[in-house]
Amino acid sequence: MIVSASGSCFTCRGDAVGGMPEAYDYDYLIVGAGVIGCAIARELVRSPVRVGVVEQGWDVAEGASKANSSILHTGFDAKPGTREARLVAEGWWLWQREAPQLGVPILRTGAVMLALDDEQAQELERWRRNATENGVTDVELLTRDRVLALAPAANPAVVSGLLVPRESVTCTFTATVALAEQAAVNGAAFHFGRRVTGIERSPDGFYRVLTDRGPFTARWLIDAAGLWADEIARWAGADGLVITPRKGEFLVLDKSARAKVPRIHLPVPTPISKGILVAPTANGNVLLGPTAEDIDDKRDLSVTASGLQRAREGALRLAPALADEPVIATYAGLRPASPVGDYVIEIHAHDRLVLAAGIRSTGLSSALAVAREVVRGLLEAGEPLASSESPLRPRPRRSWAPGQPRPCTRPELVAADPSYGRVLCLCELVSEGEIREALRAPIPATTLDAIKKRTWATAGRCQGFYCTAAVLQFVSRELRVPLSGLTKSGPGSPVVGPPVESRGRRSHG
Amino acid sequence: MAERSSIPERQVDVLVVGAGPAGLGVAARLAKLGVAPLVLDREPVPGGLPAQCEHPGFGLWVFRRLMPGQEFAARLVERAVRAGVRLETDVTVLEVTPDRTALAVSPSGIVRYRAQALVLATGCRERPRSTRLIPGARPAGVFNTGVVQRLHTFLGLLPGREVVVVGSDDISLVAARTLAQAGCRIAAVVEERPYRQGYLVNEWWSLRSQRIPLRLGHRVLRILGDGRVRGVEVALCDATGTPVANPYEIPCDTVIFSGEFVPEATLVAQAGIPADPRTGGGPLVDQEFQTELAGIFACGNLVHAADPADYALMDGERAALGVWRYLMSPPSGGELVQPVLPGPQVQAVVPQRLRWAGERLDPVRLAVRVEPALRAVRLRAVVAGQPWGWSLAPAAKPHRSVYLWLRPARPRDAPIVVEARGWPIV
Repeated sequence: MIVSASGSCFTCRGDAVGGMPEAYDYDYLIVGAGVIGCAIARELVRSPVRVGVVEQGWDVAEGASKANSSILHTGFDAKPGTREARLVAEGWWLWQREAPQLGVPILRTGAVMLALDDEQAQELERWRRNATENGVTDVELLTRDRVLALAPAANPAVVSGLLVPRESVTCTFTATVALAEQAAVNGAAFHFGRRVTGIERSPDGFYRVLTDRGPFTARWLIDAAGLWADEIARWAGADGLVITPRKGEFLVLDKSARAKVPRIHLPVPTPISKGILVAPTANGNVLLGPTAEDIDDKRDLSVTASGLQRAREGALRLAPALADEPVIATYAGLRPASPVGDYVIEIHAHDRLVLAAGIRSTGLSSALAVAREVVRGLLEAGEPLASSESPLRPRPRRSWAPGQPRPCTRPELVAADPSYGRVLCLCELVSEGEIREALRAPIPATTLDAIKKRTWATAGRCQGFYCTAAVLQFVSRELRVPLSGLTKSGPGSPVVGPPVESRGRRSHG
Repeated sequence: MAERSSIPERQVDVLVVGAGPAGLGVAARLAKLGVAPLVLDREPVPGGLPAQCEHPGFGLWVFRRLMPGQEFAARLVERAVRAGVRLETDVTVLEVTPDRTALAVSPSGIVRYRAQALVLATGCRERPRSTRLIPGARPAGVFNTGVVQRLHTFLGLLPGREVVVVGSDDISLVAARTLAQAGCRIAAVVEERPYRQGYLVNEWWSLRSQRIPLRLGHRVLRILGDGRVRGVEVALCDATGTPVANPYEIPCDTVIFSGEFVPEATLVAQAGIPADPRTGGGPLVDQEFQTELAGIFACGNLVHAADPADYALMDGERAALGVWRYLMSPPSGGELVQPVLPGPQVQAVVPQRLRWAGERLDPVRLAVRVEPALRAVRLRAVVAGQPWGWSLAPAAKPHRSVYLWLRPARPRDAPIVVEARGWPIV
């Protein structure tokens, strides 16, 4: 966290906490500021209700929403008849409608599923039928020549393929931040850096949610806690939910690879996993991954030598032409998987508890639909909520989103504000102007990771070699906090050490 | 990129991108030859990487004495400006085109420069942790040496308190010493090769004087820590990277990945200038540092990352002569191009081709990288099966160039093959 740990929330609206002589803080308290929690918050603030979001991390999208493939799925490969299939399909259309006003990039790249042998080629027909059953009727079987025309980097051994034209690429960071910011400007209060430590019920049925930095009271509790949804549910009195972390490791290739990957390359899924894919990113890079490994530790975000190797080998089987492209970053994410094999969305009207859990790898795609589903459930439970078409105040516009030209390349912006002409991050061409916007946004970036999510500063090919010091210095000056108070991801992650004590002693020892 | 129409254009004779030793070397020499170059640098402080180095070890070649990097950089800047070089800082070049224009942005706006000749001197950077595919957690406290130098020199900050340095070239060794003297505890310097990369004298001066342990043949298996680095797990490994002894943990709050320099070749790739994968993506150049695109030159650690700053400066001065000749008499065609190829035990050679026009007989300097590291090295250039030149060196390691001077070879239509012999260092 950049703002020193005062313990206060950053975006509390004055009237959200205190103010009114009510017996509770929030009508709806959402646990978890991932893409699901933020989407639900944004949907709820269409009504004049008090919405709070409590999050253990120091930013939005710090769990499963932080580390995924950023693909906007059509749901063509989901199991027909499941809630996941329905909500992913609905979510895709909602994103098409909402993304422009939210400032979220969507690249309709399409995906090509590659059959690398005859056995896989036979599977394609099954996936085509599966897609049709899920309402994705525009898929198309491809001959080898067509595959190679649409995916020039594909393995020459490819036999045939399946084109899914609407599979798209978005940006999980931008999407989650945008939803959260629109929720915030419409009245939702976000409380970061608060880990829920217990949940109590008062005799009149109100929730008292204990956190490591003070309690909140709420009429309804909405569990969107991702990996920790089972724990929250248990504390709230709903047993039976089990969430197991499934690790996925990714590699990010430099932008030179992007031209070779015009579309998402998918393997033919196995019964176990959707498999390792190759995908362009909205910011012009290429992703390889993810692996899928069930693990025990919900905090284990480490990359492993074997995992990275598997991700790379799997991806190169689809697109061997990427073998020489430089890797600029690696990461691991944990999907919150549930043994049910489908989303768990439950409205316990009597307990005033909502579960939005088990949302594995498709949560980004389905988030807007999940939020609507939750509101539909609340309406059925008799909650007086506004329709999902009630207008929202827009989120403040940003000068840049992934995939757009950088402000420093736009003469009119640089002329209007010289800070757009002072480039700090040289690989990604991030200027002071974009970083300032991130620091002053409705959900202000308070950590270096948060700045990176919003601007890509330090996320390019040099990974901060040239710009780390300059970014730190600018942020420190802009927020008037000492450099030693800047953190990567919140308290306990200081970026730098102490000041040099005696500068005279060193130079010629 | 940005629309051309609304962007002001400026004509310059020579535009130099990067005000490090190479760029300043080109510019100062050109100014003395009567050409007024414009040097652009994206940093607020000119001087390139030496400007962020407080340790001595710079300047022997030009100033005849060793001095700290900062002083070296300041003197190069002063020398260039006094010679008549125009220098602009805080200017980022966004785009270079084959017809020698450069689009640049600064707080005062976006400008397109049109140059008679363009020199790229954008230097090099260290490979980050992620590119090295180091497993483990991704907490705060993982740096490159360059970042640590900047924090230290420009912001007066230490990276942490307990440090593990990964890499043992001279830069790593000096960084360990500097941090130790500034108050850090250096838990270890870890080197995955079985030998030290830097000079022995530097090991004594930097590590032994501070009682810093050097762990040769050790790899970082894992970085540990949640918010901030808590330690690194290392093990003695064989040449394939397989541990041959039990891994153990070194507690620390900072890991510095040092050395392993690669060219900062973003503009080279963007402009489509043919590059040499053997140098990590630096452009292909001739003996006067001209790239494959006429009138675009490249020199310094952009073409051979990372040799000492003095050598980058020497490159710059040689490149200036090439630029001057180009300006005086642009190539008329009909010149002979002679490739220079790496032979046995040679990873890369710069320049990658020699260009011969007329009957010029200047001797040529080849910068050679060996692979693997060798002791008692004999470099040899062979043209059409005939030995043409040779040089000796007590030792050669892959991260530093060794040099070979050649008289112009005949025949000039056969490739020159450079080979190295010696005893492998293990």
